Amino acid sequence: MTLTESNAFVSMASSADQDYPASNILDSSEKVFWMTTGLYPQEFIITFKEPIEFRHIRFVTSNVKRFVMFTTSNQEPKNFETIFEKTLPNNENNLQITDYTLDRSIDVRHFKCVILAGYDSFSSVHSLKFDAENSRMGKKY
Amino acid sequence: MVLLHGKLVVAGDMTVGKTAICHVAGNDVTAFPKSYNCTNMADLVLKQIRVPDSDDTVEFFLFDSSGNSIYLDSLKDAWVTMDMYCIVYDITDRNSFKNCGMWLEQLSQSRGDHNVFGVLVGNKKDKENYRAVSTQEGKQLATSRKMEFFECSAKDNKGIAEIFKHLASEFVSRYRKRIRTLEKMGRETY
Repeated sequence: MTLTESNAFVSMASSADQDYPASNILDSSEKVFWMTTGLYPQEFIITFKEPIEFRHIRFVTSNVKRFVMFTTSNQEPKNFETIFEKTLPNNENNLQITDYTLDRSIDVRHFKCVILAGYDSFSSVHSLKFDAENSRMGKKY
Repeated sequence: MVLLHGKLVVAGDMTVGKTAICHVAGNDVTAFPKSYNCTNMADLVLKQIRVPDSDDTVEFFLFDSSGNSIYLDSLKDAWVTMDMYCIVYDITDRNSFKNCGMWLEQLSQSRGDHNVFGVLVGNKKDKENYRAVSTQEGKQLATSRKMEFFECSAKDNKGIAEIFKHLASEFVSRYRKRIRTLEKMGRETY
């Protein structure tokens, strides 16, 4: 079991299809996914039982047009700060892979992602990975 | 089992009965508005529909657009995020039928990125004696524009449920189709 599975969990998601749950976002496989069930914005929050430090984000989606990511190191999931905002090109229903490196490592207890718009009524999130790289012995979270 | 949400834009000429359809659909009971009130800009009505022969439910955000052309520009901004549309005409008013082409044009101009679909609805079927547009003509227009065709009476609450059942099942089938594609992709890449 990786740290991702033990330390992190999805504490909130705006769409719920029991066959395609938000917990699929943290599953390392890109075969399983979370479906949004119509209308935008859609969002989810990932909570870490132990705060983590990361610099890299890998976000795999489909039909997402624009998204924003926020984090907070507070105990409570509030006072989020924007870390990354991006408009993705239309990948014609194929997977969109976004790799992003932050200027510096950040301490995170809650991570929020808001999908502002999509290229179709329904979009999906296949995986989200955090990577600390050189800090803290390069552990993968 | 899933609950889907979709934005349905209702458009068409003034006084064809868009608001009446939305109200009758939204409240099921005899919510037919007895006096005329021109819609300013747009109204929002919520409507949940259980898809026949499944556990799936679709919640419609009925975006009841004003037929008054002075609102057209601002309406278009709100139409961008629509998932489906419903163009309404009055079967006793030939002009409202002629204008359907114009409404369709406006809708397709302002549609956003979503893969939209729609229906054409002839309202006021209760006024059969004053009919000015035949069912055949309505069907023809709908077929040529790849829309489903319905005739209904908001006053008698006839044929309204069918429209929403159709839209709901089509919306769910698009959702299912999308999932099947994604699952197929998953199997092929590994």
